[in-house]
Amino acid sequence: MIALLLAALTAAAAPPSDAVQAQRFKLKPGAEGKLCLDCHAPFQAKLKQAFVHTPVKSSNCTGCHNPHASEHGKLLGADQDKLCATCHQDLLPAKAKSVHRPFGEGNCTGCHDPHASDNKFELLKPGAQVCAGCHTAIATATGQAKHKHFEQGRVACTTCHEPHASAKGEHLLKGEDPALCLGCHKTNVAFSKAHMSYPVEKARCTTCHDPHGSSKPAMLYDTLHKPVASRQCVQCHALPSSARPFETKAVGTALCTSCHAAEITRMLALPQVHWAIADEKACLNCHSAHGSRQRGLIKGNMKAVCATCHSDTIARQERSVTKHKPVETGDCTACHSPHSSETALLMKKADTTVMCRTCHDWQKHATHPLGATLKDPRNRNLVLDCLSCHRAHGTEFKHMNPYPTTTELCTKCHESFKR
Amino acid sequence: MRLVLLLCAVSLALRAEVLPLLPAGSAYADASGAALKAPEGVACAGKGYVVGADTGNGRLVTWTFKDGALTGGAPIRFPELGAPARVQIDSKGNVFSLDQRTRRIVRVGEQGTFAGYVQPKGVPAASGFFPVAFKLDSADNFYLLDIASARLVVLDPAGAFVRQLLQPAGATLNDVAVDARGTVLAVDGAHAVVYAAKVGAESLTPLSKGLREYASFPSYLSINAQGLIVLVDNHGNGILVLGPDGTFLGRRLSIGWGEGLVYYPGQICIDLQGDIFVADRGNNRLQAFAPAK
Repeated sequence: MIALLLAALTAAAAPPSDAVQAQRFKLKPGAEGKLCLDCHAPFQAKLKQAFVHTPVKSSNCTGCHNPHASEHGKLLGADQDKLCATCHQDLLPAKAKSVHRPFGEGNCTGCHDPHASDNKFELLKPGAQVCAGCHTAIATATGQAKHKHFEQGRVACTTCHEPHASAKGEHLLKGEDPALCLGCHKTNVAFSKAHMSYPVEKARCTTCHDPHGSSKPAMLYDTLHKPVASRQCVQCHALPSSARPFETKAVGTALCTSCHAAEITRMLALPQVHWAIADEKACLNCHSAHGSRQRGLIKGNMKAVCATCHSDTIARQERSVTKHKPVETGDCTACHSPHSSETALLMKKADTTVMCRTCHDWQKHATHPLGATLKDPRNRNLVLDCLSCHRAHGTEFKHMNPYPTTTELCTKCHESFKR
Repeated sequence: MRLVLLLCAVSLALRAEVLPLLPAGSAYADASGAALKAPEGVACAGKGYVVGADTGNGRLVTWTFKDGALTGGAPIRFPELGAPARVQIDSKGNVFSLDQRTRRIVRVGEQGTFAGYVQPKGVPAASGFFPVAFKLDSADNFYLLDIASARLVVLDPAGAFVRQLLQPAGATLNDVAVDARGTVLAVDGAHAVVYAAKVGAESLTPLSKGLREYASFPSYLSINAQGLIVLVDNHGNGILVLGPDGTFLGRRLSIGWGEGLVYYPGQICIDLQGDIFVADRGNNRLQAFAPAK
């Protein structure tokens, strides 16, 4: 009964056959496709390409196009984001853990030629070149890496990633780390020796190895924690032969203090401490313990790392009409000390004007007087500085102004000009 | 249809009435005229007694709030309290302040002198002890937020361990409060969620839904005499009013540098009359707001 029901549903979802389409448009016998090519003659060359989309191959142009009129571009029978799914609905797993953005948005032609191509799957470019079109940073880094994971003919993006959606992992991965990696990399004596006898086949490979390639041997991350680089795992972890070999010798700052005592003592001695360094995860809130693509072993792009807790601040910048470059590029430490400070909001410098002047020469930027000797007319305990008129993380108004118009801003102090 | 519209109008009108505030004076300096600098804390008690943590100047300052004005401004300064942040006053009028450098709670003597530390005793060993916030309940028990071990620690007035509540998984707590019934409340600023644990409960559970729609980074919470929860939206420069069940009721105050506006507010204190004192850190002043009649 269920099988019958499923069959009925499948039939209902299936695209109309050539015969059905022909009947629908009352085409002359044998007119499918051929009739279209009478006018669309240059299309003949397309059909000679190595890989031809099935409906095109079977001359079923009306499978996708309406020959008379359409409310959709290119006389398509439906919006592109729905049209492809009428045949290719099986590409989206029921419980997808990750979905490729163009696929999710129905932008299939971002990667595929809907008619034909000389590349497999009618891709616009051969294999990884299609991916590189959007994922330029990864492609560039992969290209520059001395030790590459990508290997022509053997390892490509789709070796590890699903192109459309994955039911098994984040980032479109075909499986979880380490199971995915162990599909190719077999564990043996040499493997164990290379990992100092730690049972890393039960750990996550990507905490040390850059899966896209790196300039370090064994594709270890370009920035490595010193104990990893010197293969001294025991500096932080229990012995490989112990019952819990990955257990760390201490937790929180207590672990990191064994090497970074001076820095941590200095950080915690200041009155304004970034809470992230004092909680249970401590340094590992922001830093990777093993390796990273970022300098300072930051877990990822600083904007993303800081947004883990400060998503409100990053969101404000996203909404802002005028972008503040350090926030936009993820250089939060241009203004803030990431660990601790003498000053509120972990500012690097107590004097805002001095802080801003590290990037902005305000004398050229504006003629408004600023500085420690000039009192803010609105508040006698404030001096005029850049933040008297601007909000550093942006606003909905131009020039990061806190008010919709310049007039509203200026007349807060220059009240006599208020109209 | 008319009934629905009427109910909506009444509901909106009622919401608009919740905790309306009017500016009721500010303190910019101590009695000698020395300006406040980045004050982070404030506490209040009966008879208009107000203590501010003048954090940037490394001292406390006391005022009297009477007839809509803050008067006085006596400074309290001693080396053991070089970086006061949060301040609390117990039922007997004793002042306590958390020092940001030493991470210890300092007891202030009657003459404004150092009267010792609150020494936690019998606290279970965990991954460290790093208190960032504290409150007192009506019985003068201490509720400390210890981020090093991701927990709320309850100490009796003598500092002896009473119990602890673990920080909920995935939460990043910023402050703690206790209501008149002994319900412990905590706010997670990063996710803008208020948690609660009733008396006897062994864990904190979400009381409010995610409040990101209304707040940027709520980092402090207090409870008024009617049981309303008042959250300080530090990054969003305002305060949020929630019902005792965590329902959002309204937003008060807004960003600015002039009187009645706030800029990166820190701690607040609500007295029995409903007056709210704000450590207006970014504006280097302490502000008072009275409930509008």
